[in-house]
Amino acid sequence: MLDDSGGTCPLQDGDNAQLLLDYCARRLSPSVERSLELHIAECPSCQKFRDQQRAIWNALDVWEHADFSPGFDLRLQEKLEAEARRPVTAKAMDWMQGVSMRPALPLAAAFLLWMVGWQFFKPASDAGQTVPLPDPPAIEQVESTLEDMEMLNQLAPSE
Amino acid sequence: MSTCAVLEPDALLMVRFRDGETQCFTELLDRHRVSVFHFLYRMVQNQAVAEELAQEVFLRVYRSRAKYEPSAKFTTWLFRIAMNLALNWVRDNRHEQGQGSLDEEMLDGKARQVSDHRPDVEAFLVYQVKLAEVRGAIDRLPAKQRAAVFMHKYQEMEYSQIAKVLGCSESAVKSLLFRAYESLRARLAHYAG
Repeated sequence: MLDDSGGTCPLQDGDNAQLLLDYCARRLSPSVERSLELHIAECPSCQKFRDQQRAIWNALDVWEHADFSPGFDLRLQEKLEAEARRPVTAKAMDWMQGVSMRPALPLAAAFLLWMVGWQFFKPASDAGQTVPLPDPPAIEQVESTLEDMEMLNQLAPSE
Repeated sequence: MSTCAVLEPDALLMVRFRDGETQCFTELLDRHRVSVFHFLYRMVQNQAVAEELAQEVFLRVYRSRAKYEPSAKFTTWLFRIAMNLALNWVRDNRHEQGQGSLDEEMLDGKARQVSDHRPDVEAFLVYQVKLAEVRGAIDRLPAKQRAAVFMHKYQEMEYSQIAKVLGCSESAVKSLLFRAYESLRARLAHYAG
Protein backbone atom coordinates (compact mmCIF):
# COMPACT_ATOMS: atom_id res chain seq x y z
CA MET A 1 0.00 0.00 0.00
CA LEU A 2 2.60 2.52 1.08
CA ASP A 3 5.19 3.48 -1.37
CA ASP A 4 7.95 5.87 -0.35
CA SER A 5 10.25 4.81 -3.15
CA GLY A 6 8.46 6.70 -5.88
CA GLY A 7 6.48 3.72 -7.19
CA THR A 8 2.73 3.79 -7.57
CA CYS A 9 0.13 2.49 -5.18
CA PRO A 10 -2.11 -0.32 -6.49
CA LEU A 11 -4.98 2.07 -5.92
CA GLN A 12 -3.80 4.00 -8.94
CA ASP A 13 -4.08 1.05 -11.32
CA GLY A 14 -6.96 0.35 -13.64
CA ASP A 15 -10.45 0.80 -12.24
CA ASN A 16 -9.08 1.62 -8.78
CA ALA A 17 -7.75 4.92 -10.07
CA GLN A 18 -11.33 5.96 -10.70
CA LEU A 19 -11.81 6.01 -6.97
CA LEU A 20 -9.08 8.61 -6.61
CA LEU A 21 -10.43 10.67 -9.53
CA ASP A 22 -13.89 10.58 -7.98
CA TYR A 23 -12.42 11.57 -4.65
CA CYS A 24 -10.75 14.63 -6.18
CA ALA A 25 -13.98 15.48 -7.99
CA ARG A 26 -15.87 15.11 -4.69
CA ARG A 27 -18.16 12.47 -6.12
CA LEU A 28 -17.75 9.82 -3.43
CA SER A 29 -20.17 9.06 -0.65
CA PRO A 30 -19.02 10.41 2.75
CA SER A 31 -18.22 6.94 4.10
CA VAL A 32 -16.06 5.94 1.11
CA GLU A 33 -14.43 9.34 1.18
CA ARG A 34 -13.46 8.90 4.85
CA SER A 35 -11.98 5.46 4.18
CA LEU A 36 -9.98 6.79 1.29
CA GLU A 37 -8.73 9.73 3.30
CA LEU A 38 -7.38 7.31 5.88
CA HIS A 39 -5.49 5.51 3.14
CA ILE A 40 -4.21 8.69 1.52
CA ALA A 41 -2.93 9.98 4.85
CA GLU A 42 -0.56 7.01 4.96
CA CYS A 43 0.26 6.68 1.25
CA PRO A 44 2.73 9.20 -0.22
CA SER A 45 2.02 8.00 -3.75
CA CYS A 46 -1.72 8.64 -3.42
CA GLN A 47 -1.00 11.98 -1.77
CA LYS A 48 1.01 12.96 -4.82
CA PHE A 49 -1.76 11.76 -7.14
CA ARG A 50 -4.36 13.71 -5.14
CA ASP A 51 -2.30 16.90 -5.16
CA GLN A 52 -1.67 16.70 -8.90
CA GLN A 53 -5.27 15.88 -9.70
CA ARG A 54 -6.56 18.69 -7.51
CA ALA A 55 -4.15 21.08 -9.22
CA ILE A 56 -5.59 20.02 -12.58
CA TRP A 57 -9.09 20.40 -11.25
CA ASN A 58 -8.30 23.92 -10.00
CA ALA A 59 -6.52 24.81 -13.22
CA LEU A 60 -9.60 23.79 -15.19
CA ASP A 61 -11.65 26.11 -12.99
CA VAL A 62 -9.61 28.97 -14.38
CA TRP A 63 -11.32 28.44 -17.69
CA GLU A 64 -14.35 30.59 -17.15
CA HIS A 65 -17.10 30.35 -19.67
CA ALA A 66 -17.87 32.97 -22.23
CA ASP A 67 -21.19 34.74 -22.59
CA PHE A 68 -23.43 34.68 -25.60
CA SER A 69 -23.16 37.52 -28.01
CA PRO A 70 -26.20 39.85 -27.75
CA GLY A 71 -27.72 38.70 -31.04
CA PHE A 72 -27.70 34.99 -30.22
CA ASP A 73 -31.37 34.64 -29.30
CA LEU A 74 -32.53 36.82 -32.17
CA ARG A 75 -30.55 34.83 -34.75
CA LEU A 76 -31.81 31.56 -33.37
CA GLN A 77 -35.36 32.83 -33.41
CA GLU A 78 -34.97 33.83 -37.06
CA LYS A 79 -33.61 30.39 -37.94
CA LEU A 80 -36.48 28.67 -36.16
CA GLU A 81 -39.04 30.84 -37.93
CA ALA A 82 -37.39 30.14 -41.27
CA GLU A 83 -37.47 26.43 -40.44
CA ALA A 84 -41.17 26.61 -39.63
CA ARG A 85 -41.85 28.33 -42.98
CA ARG A 86 -39.91 25.84 -45.06
CA PRO A 87 -42.00 23.82 -47.51
CA VAL A 88 -42.62 20.18 -46.78
CA THR A 89 -40.66 19.13 -49.88
CA ALA A 90 -37.51 20.82 -48.59
CA LYS A 91 -37.93 19.08 -45.25
CA ALA A 92 -38.39 15.77 -47.05
CA MET A 93 -35.16 16.39 -48.96
CA ASP A 94 -33.39 17.04 -45.66
CA TRP A 95 -34.78 13.80 -44.35
CA MET A 96 -33.52 11.96 -47.42
CA GLN A 97 -30.08 13.46 -46.93
CA GLY A 98 -30.21 12.47 -43.30
CA VAL A 99 -30.84 8.84 -44.15
CA SER A 100 -27.49 7.21 -44.02
CA MET A 101 -26.50 5.44 -47.20
CA ARG A 102 -23.55 3.75 -45.55
CA PRO A 103 -25.17 0.38 -44.89
CA ALA A 104 -26.26 0.17 -48.53
CA LEU A 105 -22.81 0.81 -49.96
CA PRO A 106 -21.19 -2.56 -49.14
CA LEU A 107 -24.30 -4.32 -50.41
CA ALA A 108 -24.22 -2.36 -53.66
CA ALA A 109 -20.49 -3.06 -54.08
CA ALA A 110 -21.01 -6.77 -53.42
CA PHE A 111 -23.86 -6.90 -55.94
CA LEU A 112 -21.74 -5.12 -58.54
CA LEU A 113 -18.86 -7.54 -58.00
CA TRP A 114 -21.22 -10.48 -58.29
CA MET A 115 -22.62 -9.11 -61.54
CA VAL A 116 -19.15 -8.57 -63.00
CA GLY A 117 -18.01 -11.98 -61.86
CA TRP A 118 -21.10 -13.59 -63.27
CA GLN A 119 -20.50 -11.94 -66.64
CA PHE A 120 -16.91 -13.15 -66.81
CA PHE A 121 -17.13 -16.54 -65.20
CA LYS A 122 -20.64 -17.73 -66.02
CA PRO A 123 -20.84 -21.37 -67.15
CA ALA A 124 -20.69 -21.90 -70.90
CA SER A 125 -24.12 -21.27 -72.31
CA ASP A 126 -25.91 -23.82 -74.45
CA ALA A 127 -27.47 -21.10 -76.52
CA GLY A 128 -24.77 -20.96 -79.21
CA GLN A 129 -24.54 -24.65 -79.82
CA THR A 130 -26.66 -26.69 -82.20
CA VAL A 131 -28.53 -29.29 -80.34
CA PRO A 132 -28.97 -32.51 -82.27
CA LEU A 133 -32.66 -33.03 -82.53
CA PRO A 134 -33.96 -36.48 -82.84
CA ASP A 135 -34.02 -37.46 -86.51
CA PRO A 136 -37.36 -37.18 -88.14
CA PRO A 137 -38.60 -40.56 -89.26
CA ALA A 138 -37.01 -41.13 -92.56
CA ILE A 139 -39.36 -41.30 -95.47
CA GLU A 140 -37.59 -44.37 -96.66
CA GLN A 141 -38.23 -46.05 -93.36
CA VAL A 142 -41.93 -45.21 -93.55
CA GLU A 143 -42.15 -46.45 -97.09
CA SER A 144 -40.32 -49.60 -96.13
CA THR A 145 -42.68 -50.22 -93.26
CA LEU A 146 -45.71 -49.71 -95.49
CA GLU A 147 -44.28 -52.12 -98.01
CA ASP A 148 -43.63 -54.63 -95.25
CA MET A 149 -47.21 -54.37 -94.08
CA GLU A 150 -48.52 -54.73 -97.62
CA MET A 151 -46.34 -57.76 -98.08
CA LEU A 152 -47.61 -59.27 -94.91
CA ASN A 153 -51.13 -58.69 -96.05
CA GLN A 154 -50.36 -60.44 -99.33
CA LEU A 155 -48.77 -63.35 -97.53
CA ALA A 156 -51.64 -63.75 -95.20
CA PRO A 157 -53.50 -66.95 -95.97
CA SER A 158 -56.57 -66.19 -97.96
CA GLU A 159 -59.69 -67.78 -96.73
CA MET B 1 -50.63 9.72 -19.14
CA SER B 2 -48.89 7.15 -17.02
CA THR B 3 -45.77 7.35 -19.20
CA CYS B 4 -45.72 11.12 -18.76
CA ALA B 5 -45.73 10.65 -15.01
CA VAL B 6 -42.40 8.80 -15.03
CA LEU B 7 -40.62 10.98 -17.58
CA GLU B 8 -37.91 13.35 -16.43
CA PRO B 9 -38.93 17.01 -16.73
CA ASP B 10 -36.88 17.71 -19.88
CA ALA B 11 -38.19 14.65 -21.69
CA LEU B 12 -41.71 15.59 -20.69
CA LEU B 13 -41.19 19.06 -22.13
CA MET B 14 -39.89 17.55 -25.35
CA VAL B 15 -42.86 15.19 -25.58
CA ARG B 16 -45.24 18.10 -25.04
CA PHE B 17 -43.37 20.06 -27.71
CA ARG B 18 -43.67 17.08 -30.06
CA ASP B 19 -47.38 17.05 -29.36
CA GLY B 20 -47.74 20.68 -30.36
CA GLU B 21 -47.02 22.83 -27.30
CA THR B 22 -44.47 25.13 -28.88
CA GLN B 23 -43.79 27.10 -25.69
CA CYS B 24 -42.16 23.93 -24.29
CA PHE B 25 -39.35 24.33 -26.80
CA THR B 26 -38.66 27.82 -25.49
CA GLU B 27 -38.43 26.39 -22.00
CA LEU B 28 -36.01 23.69 -23.12
CA LEU B 29 -33.95 26.35 -24.85
CA ASP B 30 -33.83 28.46 -21.70
CA ARG B 31 -32.79 25.48 -19.62
CA HIS B 32 -30.01 24.17 -21.82
CA ARG B 33 -28.65 26.73 -24.24
CA VAL B 34 -26.03 27.98 -21.77
CA SER B 35 -24.63 24.54 -20.97
CA VAL B 36 -24.68 23.49 -24.63
CA PHE B 37 -22.93 26.69 -25.66
CA HIS B 38 -20.27 26.35 -22.95
CA PHE B 39 -19.58 22.76 -23.93
CA LEU B 40 -19.25 23.72 -27.59
CA TYR B 41 -17.19 26.79 -26.77
CA ARG B 42 -14.68 24.69 -24.89
CA MET B 43 -14.62 22.07 -27.63
CA VAL B 44 -14.01 24.44 -30.53
CA GLN B 45 -12.37 27.31 -28.60
CA ASN B 46 -14.02 29.92 -30.73
CA GLN B 47 -17.02 31.96 -29.64
CA ALA B 48 -18.57 32.62 -33.05
CA VAL B 49 -18.28 28.98 -34.11
CA ALA B 50 -19.63 27.80 -30.75
CA GLU B 51 -22.67 30.05 -31.17
CA GLU B 52 -23.30 28.77 -34.68
CA LEU B 53 -23.02 25.17 -33.55
CA ALA B 54 -25.24 25.77 -30.51
CA GLN B 55 -27.90 27.20 -32.81
CA GLU B 56 -27.57 24.19 -35.08
CA VAL B 57 -28.04 21.88 -32.08
CA PHE B 58 -31.36 23.49 -31.19
CA LEU B 59 -32.40 23.65 -34.81
CA ARG B 60 -31.88 19.89 -35.04
CA VAL B 61 -33.88 19.35 -31.87
CA TYR B 62 -36.64 21.46 -33.41
CA ARG B 63 -36.56 19.49 -36.66
CA SER B 64 -36.48 16.13 -34.90
CA ARG B 65 -39.46 16.78 -32.65
CA ALA B 66 -41.80 14.52 -34.64
CA LYS B 67 -39.44 11.56 -34.31
CA TYR B 68 -38.60 12.13 -30.65
CA GLU B 69 -39.02 9.16 -28.34
CA PRO B 70 -38.07 9.60 -24.69
CA SER B 71 -35.90 6.50 -24.55
CA ALA B 72 -32.98 8.23 -22.81
CA LYS B 73 -32.38 11.37 -20.79
CA PHE B 74 -33.06 14.45 -22.86
CA THR B 75 -29.65 15.91 -22.05
CA THR B 76 -27.97 12.72 -23.26
CA TRP B 77 -29.62 13.18 -26.64
CA LEU B 78 -28.92 16.91 -26.64
CA PHE B 79 -25.24 16.52 -25.82
CA ARG B 80 -24.89 13.72 -28.29
CA ILE B 81 -26.03 16.09 -31.03
CA ALA B 82 -23.71 18.79 -29.69
CA MET B 83 -20.77 16.43 -29.42
CA ASN B 84 -21.20 15.08 -32.93
CA LEU B 85 -21.36 18.61 -34.34
CA ALA B 86 -18.29 19.60 -32.35
CA LEU B 87 -16.30 16.53 -33.36
CA ASN B 88 -17.20 17.09 -37.01
CA TRP B 89 -16.13 20.71 -36.78
CA VAL B 90 -12.88 19.78 -35.04
CA ARG B 91 -12.19 17.14 -37.70
CA ASP B 92 -12.91 19.53 -40.57
CA ASN B 93 -10.96 22.44 -39.10
CA ARG B 94 -8.10 20.57 -37.50
CA HIS B 95 -5.48 22.66 -39.27
CA GLU B 96 -7.12 26.01 -38.71
CA GLN B 97 -7.42 25.63 -34.97
CA GLY B 98 -4.78 26.80 -32.56
CA GLN B 99 -3.15 30.01 -31.64
CA GLY B 100 -5.40 32.12 -33.84
CA SER B 101 -8.55 31.37 -31.94
CA LEU B 102 -6.83 31.71 -28.58
CA ASP B 103 -5.37 35.10 -29.41
CA GLU B 104 -8.63 36.30 -30.85
CA GLU B 105 -10.38 35.18 -27.70
CA MET B 106 -7.90 37.00 -25.49
CA LEU B 107 -8.60 40.25 -27.30
CA ASP B 108 -12.37 40.14 -27.34
CA GLY B 109 -15.02 40.55 -24.67
CA LYS B 110 -13.54 37.86 -22.46
CA ALA B 111 -10.40 39.84 -21.84
CA ARG B 112 -12.36 42.98 -21.12
CA GLN B 113 -14.59 41.11 -18.75
CA VAL B 114 -11.62 39.74 -16.82
CA SER B 115 -9.78 43.03 -16.78
CA ASP B 116 -12.83 44.70 -15.30
CA HIS B 117 -12.64 42.30 -12.39
CA ARG B 118 -8.86 42.44 -12.05
CA PRO B 119 -7.49 45.95 -11.98
CA ASP B 120 -4.06 44.53 -11.29
CA VAL B 121 -2.44 44.16 -14.70
CA GLU B 122 0.12 41.66 -13.46
CA ALA B 123 -2.54 39.38 -12.00
CA PHE B 124 -4.46 39.64 -15.22
CA LEU B 125 -1.43 38.62 -17.25
CA VAL B 126 -0.70 35.71 -14.92
CA TYR B 127 -4.30 34.64 -15.31
CA GLN B 128 -4.08 34.83 -19.09
CA VAL B 129 -0.88 32.79 -19.18
CA LYS B 130 -2.41 30.13 -16.96
CA LEU B 131 -5.58 30.07 -19.02
CA ALA B 132 -3.61 29.73 -22.25
CA GLU B 133 -1.62 26.86 -20.73
CA VAL B 134 -4.74 25.05 -19.59
CA ARG B 135 -6.41 25.52 -22.94
CA GLY B 136 -3.29 24.46 -24.77
CA ALA B 137 -3.00 21.29 -22.66
CA ILE B 138 -6.63 20.44 -23.26
CA ASP B 139 -6.38 21.24 -26.94
CA ARG B 140 -3.68 18.59 -27.30
CA LEU B 141 -5.97 15.86 -26.00
CA PRO B 142 -7.73 13.70 -28.58
CA ALA B 143 -11.19 15.15 -29.26
CA LYS B 144 -13.09 12.34 -27.54
CA GLN B 145 -10.98 12.59 -24.39
CA ARG B 146 -11.54 16.33 -24.42
CA ALA B 147 -15.29 15.88 -24.71
CA ALA B 148 -15.25 13.35 -21.87
CA VAL B 149 -13.31 15.71 -19.59
CA PHE B 150 -15.71 18.58 -20.30
CA MET B 151 -18.77 16.47 -19.62
CA HIS B 152 -17.17 15.10 -16.45
CA LYS B 153 -15.72 18.31 -15.11
CA TYR B 154 -18.05 21.07 -16.29
CA GLN B 155 -21.39 19.36 -16.99
CA GLU B 156 -20.88 17.05 -13.98
CA MET B 157 -22.38 14.11 -15.85
CA GLU B 158 -22.36 10.59 -14.50
CA TYR B 159 -20.13 8.05 -16.23
CA SER B 160 -23.16 6.22 -17.54
CA GLN B 161 -24.48 9.36 -19.20
CA ILE B 162 -21.10 10.27 -20.69
CA ALA B 163 -20.95 6.72 -22.04
CA LYS B 164 -24.32 7.16 -23.75
CA VAL B 165 -23.32 10.49 -25.24
CA LEU B 166 -20.05 9.09 -26.54
CA GLY B 167 -21.64 5.81 -27.61
CA CYS B 168 -19.28 3.57 -25.66
CA SER B 169 -19.22 1.52 -22.48
CA GLU B 170 -18.93 2.96 -19.01
CA SER B 171 -15.57 1.28 -18.48
CA ALA B 172 -14.35 2.79 -21.76
CA VAL B 173 -15.33 6.22 -20.45
CA LYS B 174 -13.43 5.62 -17.21
CA SER B 175 -10.39 4.58 -19.15
CA LEU B 176 -10.77 7.59 -21.47
CA LEU B 177 -10.97 9.96 -18.51
CA PHE B 178 -8.08 8.31 -16.71
CA ARG B 179 -5.84 8.73 -19.75
CA ALA B 180 -7.02 12.29 -20.29
CA TYR B 181 -6.31 13.35 -16.71
CA GLU B 182 -3.02 11.50 -16.81
CA SER B 183 -1.96 13.57 -19.83
CA LEU B 184 -3.17 16.77 -18.18
CA ARG B 185 -1.30 15.94 -14.95
CA ALA B 186 1.86 15.45 -17.00
CA ARG B 187 1.42 18.67 -18.98
CA LEU B 188 0.34 20.85 -16.09
CA ALA B 189 2.48 19.21 -13.40
CA HIS B 190 4.01 22.55 -12.39
CA TYR B 191 0.68 23.66 -10.93
CA ALA B 192 0.88 20.93 -8.32
CA GLY B 193 4.16 22.24 -6.96
